[in-house]
Amino acid sequence: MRSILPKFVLASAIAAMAALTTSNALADMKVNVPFSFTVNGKVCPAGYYSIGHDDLTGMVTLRNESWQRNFAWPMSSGDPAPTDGRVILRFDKEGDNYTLQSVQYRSLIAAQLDGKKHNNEAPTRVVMGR
Amino acid sequence: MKQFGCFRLDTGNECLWREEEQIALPPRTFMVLRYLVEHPGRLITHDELLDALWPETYVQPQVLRTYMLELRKLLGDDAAEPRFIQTLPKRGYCFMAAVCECAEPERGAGPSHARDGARAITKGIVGRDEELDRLLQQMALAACGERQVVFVTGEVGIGKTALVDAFCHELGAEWSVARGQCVDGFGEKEEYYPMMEALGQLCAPGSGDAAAGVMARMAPAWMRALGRVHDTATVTNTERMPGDLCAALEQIADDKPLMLVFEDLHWADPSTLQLIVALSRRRAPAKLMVVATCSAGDAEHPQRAMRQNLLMRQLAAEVALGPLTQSAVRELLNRELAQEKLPQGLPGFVHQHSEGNPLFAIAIVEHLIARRFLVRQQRDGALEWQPAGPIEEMEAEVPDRVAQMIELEIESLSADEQRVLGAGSVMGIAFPAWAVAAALDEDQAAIEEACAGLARRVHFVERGGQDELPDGTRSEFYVFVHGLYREVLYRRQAATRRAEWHKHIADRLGVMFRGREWAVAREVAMHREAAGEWAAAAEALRHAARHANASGARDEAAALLDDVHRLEENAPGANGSLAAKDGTNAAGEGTNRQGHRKLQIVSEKLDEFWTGS
Repeated sequence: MRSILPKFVLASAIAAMAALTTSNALADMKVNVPFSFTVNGKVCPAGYYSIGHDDLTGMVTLRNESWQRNFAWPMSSGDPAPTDGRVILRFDKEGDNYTLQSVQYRSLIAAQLDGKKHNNEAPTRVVMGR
Repeated sequence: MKQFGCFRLDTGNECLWREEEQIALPPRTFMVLRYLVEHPGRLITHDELLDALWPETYVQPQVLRTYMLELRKLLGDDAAEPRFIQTLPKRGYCFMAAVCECAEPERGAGPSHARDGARAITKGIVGRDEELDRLLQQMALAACGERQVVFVTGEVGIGKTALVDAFCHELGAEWSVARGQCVDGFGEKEEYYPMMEALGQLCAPGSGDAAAGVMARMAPAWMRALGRVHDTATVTNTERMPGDLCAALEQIADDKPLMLVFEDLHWADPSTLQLIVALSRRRAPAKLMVVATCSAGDAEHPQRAMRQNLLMRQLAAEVALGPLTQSAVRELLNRELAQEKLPQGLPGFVHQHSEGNPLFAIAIVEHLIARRFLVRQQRDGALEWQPAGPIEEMEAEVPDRVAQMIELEIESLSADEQRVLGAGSVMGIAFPAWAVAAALDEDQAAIEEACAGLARRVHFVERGGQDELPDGTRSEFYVFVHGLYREVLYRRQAATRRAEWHKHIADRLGVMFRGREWAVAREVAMHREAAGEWAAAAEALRHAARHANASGARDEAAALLDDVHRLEENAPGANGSLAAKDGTNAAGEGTNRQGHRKLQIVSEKLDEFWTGS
């Protein structure tokens, strides 16, 4: 069982972390999420999100430039193959409500972001980075 | 200088003034306005206008409509109740306003003064400083002899032309600017159409005599095609050779830096595209810059492949325009309403419904005014735009102008494509191919292919991601790039057709999730409700509530029963039987009165109800 500790951090904290670790940061990927969704109990609007990863801290960040909140989670290796180069957001869909379930950044993944185990019984929608 | 209404046409500087504000006009638009203003109060036929503006060139009269639309927008004129430009159907136009001569402005108030004021001339655009700076950086490179090709890209109405207009205005007299407009449908019929328009400007009698001299010497066949060679016998080869033109343009740029602007390159003919490739790939230094606007759509058009190729080889740069931020929309509203202090909530409302698209934002404001949701009221001794009621209660309708524009785009698709998109609109902004297949009762693979084809060709649909289906397969889902497209498509469908599609999707969900219908209960209920199947919608929710209760998820069960109550209240002819049956009516009323206490009550009632059932 992986230990996944979702952390909600304010923009300023992320900015400070980014400033300290710029040299370790990989290029951000853009993801267009066409629906609003919930993550860690916060509602995020539809739009373009940047997903970045920092090698030093092992954290993945989710940012929307026109929005005041950012998110960061620790990543671990998991289901994705070591050669997987994709960036994927996976959402649980319930009616018109979407909840962010996991963030895959290449071969790393932050899963169970909604604190639920998933047995593929509920509909899932997947959005990929570009 | 000619004055009409609050405007002055500055023929010396080729611009328009609205009181003290200078308005930038593209050269051709200015020429159309100038002709109208110089011939007021009489019918100007299409042929007369075309002969005056495009001598010896055949141009379809429909082109004039584009210029009239642009001019009406600039002048704040209304085609239905014109103050300046009256359309006389099937004949032409009449400039209605009284025109008089007025004095020239003082020196220093003209264009050079405006340029000194940093971004004063960019009043036509908001929130594009970064993009404008990028264009100016590219221009600086071109001015040093490093030729540049720049594509300005973005969705319809995002402000590509406005940005290029502002950019051209910043160039000033040090640059020659020639513009060519690509026209839908011309690409297949007339080779080099936009290039010829640009050359016509570049070699205009008087200001373009030097360029015309170079062209006549180095690219005579092009001059002949322009109708500018009188002794045609001297031109032995009548074929327009791209190499000749490239060399001539470089020579012209050597005397004075040259900016070629092509608008709507997605409608360009292959020869024009190849000419741009040739200009970008030539090695000789040239003070030459090509700026081309294009929308992202139609991956099958050669323009897209050409653009990608040049970008990949770093022979071109791209300035991609995204949606405006809310503060930029606020600035846009300040300008459009000529009002510094805006009503509370208005920028947010317009930003939300326009999704940051400036064309849609302006159309929404015009619509709010036309529908009298925004009215002029006296406040502190001045007239101000104010909402007629609470902004949050304003109807988010599709403005007529935008609806007509979208309708035209939809009409250009085949009947099958319209059906696919219509069925997709039933699902919302994002529509999975499996749902469209279900709605239309067609093969899923065929629909996947149709959707993929639409995403390649149509700018307002794009691939969004995938749905993971319960049998382990995946189905692509697609997205309308703007909610207004979905809204127009949805409204086009007859109510009975929509209901049928919703029913089919609900049925398919039931089959896909057989044995665990609770997992899609809300979605099924949503479609059943839209199909008018109220009882079936309620039953889906009740089924999920039973499952949630059995799993110990009492809050979830209560929330589902709350939805049953909502259905009961909204159902036509409902008598409350559904909710009364599950014994939670009292708790539902408690929701309104006591808020949080409701869940506790519902849980208690659920205990009683489910134990007894």
